[in-house]
Amino acid sequence: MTVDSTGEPLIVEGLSLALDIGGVQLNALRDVSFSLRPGEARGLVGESGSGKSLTLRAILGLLPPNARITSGRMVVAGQEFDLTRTDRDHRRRIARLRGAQIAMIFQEPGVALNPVVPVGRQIVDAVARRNGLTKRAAREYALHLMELVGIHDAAAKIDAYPFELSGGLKQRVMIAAAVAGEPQLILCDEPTTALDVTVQKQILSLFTHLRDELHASLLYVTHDLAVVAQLCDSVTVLYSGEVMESSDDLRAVFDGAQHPYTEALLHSTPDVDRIEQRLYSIPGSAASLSDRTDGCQFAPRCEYARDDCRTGSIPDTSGTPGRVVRCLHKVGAPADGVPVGGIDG
Amino acid sequence: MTATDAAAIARTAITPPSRKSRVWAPAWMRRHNLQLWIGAGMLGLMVLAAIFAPLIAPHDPTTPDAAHALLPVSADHLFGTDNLGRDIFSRVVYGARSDLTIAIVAVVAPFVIGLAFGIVSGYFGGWFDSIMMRLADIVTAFPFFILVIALVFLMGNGALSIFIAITCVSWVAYARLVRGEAMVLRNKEFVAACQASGISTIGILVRHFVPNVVSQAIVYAMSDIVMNVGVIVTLSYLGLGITPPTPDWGSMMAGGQQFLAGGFYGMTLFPAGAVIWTSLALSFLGDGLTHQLRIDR
Repeated sequence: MTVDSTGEPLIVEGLSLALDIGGVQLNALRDVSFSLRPGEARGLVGESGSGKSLTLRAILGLLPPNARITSGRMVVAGQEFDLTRTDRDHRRRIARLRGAQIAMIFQEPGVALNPVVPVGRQIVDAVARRNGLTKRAAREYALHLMELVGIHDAAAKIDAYPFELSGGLKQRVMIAAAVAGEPQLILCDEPTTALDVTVQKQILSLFTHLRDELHASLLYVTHDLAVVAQLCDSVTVLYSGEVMESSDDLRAVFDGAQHPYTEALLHSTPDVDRIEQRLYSIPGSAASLSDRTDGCQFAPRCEYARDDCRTGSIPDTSGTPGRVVRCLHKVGAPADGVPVGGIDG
Repeated sequence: MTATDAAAIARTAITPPSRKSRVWAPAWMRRHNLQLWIGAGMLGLMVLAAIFAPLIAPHDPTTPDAAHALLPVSADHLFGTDNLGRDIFSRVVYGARSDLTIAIVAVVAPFVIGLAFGIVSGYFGGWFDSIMMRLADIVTAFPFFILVIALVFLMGNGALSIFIAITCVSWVAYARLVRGEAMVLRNKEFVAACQASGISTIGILVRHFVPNVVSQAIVYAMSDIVMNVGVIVTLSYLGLGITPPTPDWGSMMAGGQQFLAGGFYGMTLFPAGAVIWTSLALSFLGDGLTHQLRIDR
């Protein structure tokens, strides 16, 4: 992946991470790279255990104590970070990014809010401290943010406790808290998974609206390709802690997946126009952390896999800028013959 | 350590030493939480008496008047007089001043210390936690009263000694209680959310942990005050607490003991009544608060 532009809100390069489980070092992430342009929304897609959430936590510097970053660098708003460092100075620099440059929205709004603090205070807590806002100014800012995220009777809800609000409202509160510090980058950890579909649709359109309003970039972790299709500009597909396929142009992947895993993922998404007896499912189950092998992680479940897939590290074979395909035996080009991924340049 | 481990440990650690009061109350009283209001009313009366003692007491509580010793109950001397001719009613009212003041002050310091230590220890764990827990073990290894009496004995009589002795011993219960809560909270996702939004560790502890743990500590504090009243009265009864002539319920009871055989019950009975009144008020209040804050379930 090319790293030349300076204004990019986030560049992650070569992120590898090991988890210490019972004294055994297991590679949870291997050489994960991607970047976001200003205002871009990138979907980070993968099954459970593929390392999506670990990637987000590594960016925020909030990894569990048994995780160790073995390689990787990151650029946020022009500042470079060597992610392998664990010294105090480095941790302080990363801590300063949180809330101000990078914010995060969690999967379960019900547990990510403090149950005994009114929501209005939670929305502006961090910002009010950092900027030394008066009580009155903080309250007004909270009201403004609540209206921004589409809470209509904000004045009535500002003193409510989280348990008094519905799931959708709680997620809006989380989003308001995330945008309070006017971050350039918002990390979303499956923010709509815990919501029902109608509320999910509202929240997704809120994200689209906020992106335009705040010019923030989104890194959107999900396993739901439909959500990615609706919200994102680009996509990175993770499997067992490795990038399988990545593209700066979402359509290129959705119209012509080149990696067998991406193809299989797309194929196992329900589609109203495609009436089938049974929904396709990828044979086998995701490799557990201790089963990681040499070569392509997906090879054991891949119908295209040959012997050369099972040794060495798999190079990027896309040949197109802005596109990564880590596969030796790519799925063929789309039927109409248009070269895949070339549109974005 | 997994979340369930922490929760299991917290559940065992959360049970404070068995000093919690339970007052029997009929079901209709519990239903309307009358305990809370009756307790608050009874305690309010006693606190008012303590605050306005100079206005309420008809006589000086310390000046002896040998000509009027051991008088029975009358309109002028509501509770009669003691062997030195002092008005017992005035002394009970002034006694509320000295006893309630220490009881309340001696609950604030352990509350604050225990809350701070418990939160820090539960959140960070590590060496601080180990030291705090060992310290707590040492304190709880001794019976409560023995330790307090020994400390007062070391420091000498008086209100200040009682205050320091109670603080040294009873912070442990708060710290244990709060530590368990903090250990559970530490693994909650909202803590990660706070960190992600850039709130400092101190900010998380002060603005997000304290509101979560304070209600349990308050409920415990109510039964702790009852205990403190008992400690002060007992120490004074044993001659280790507030020294005469300053009025105090414990020393009044001790002084009246030798006159019981002669049929002069007032000297012992009325201060004892005041102790029972206050303890009952605080117990009602504590139970009522527990019910109100819904942590009884």
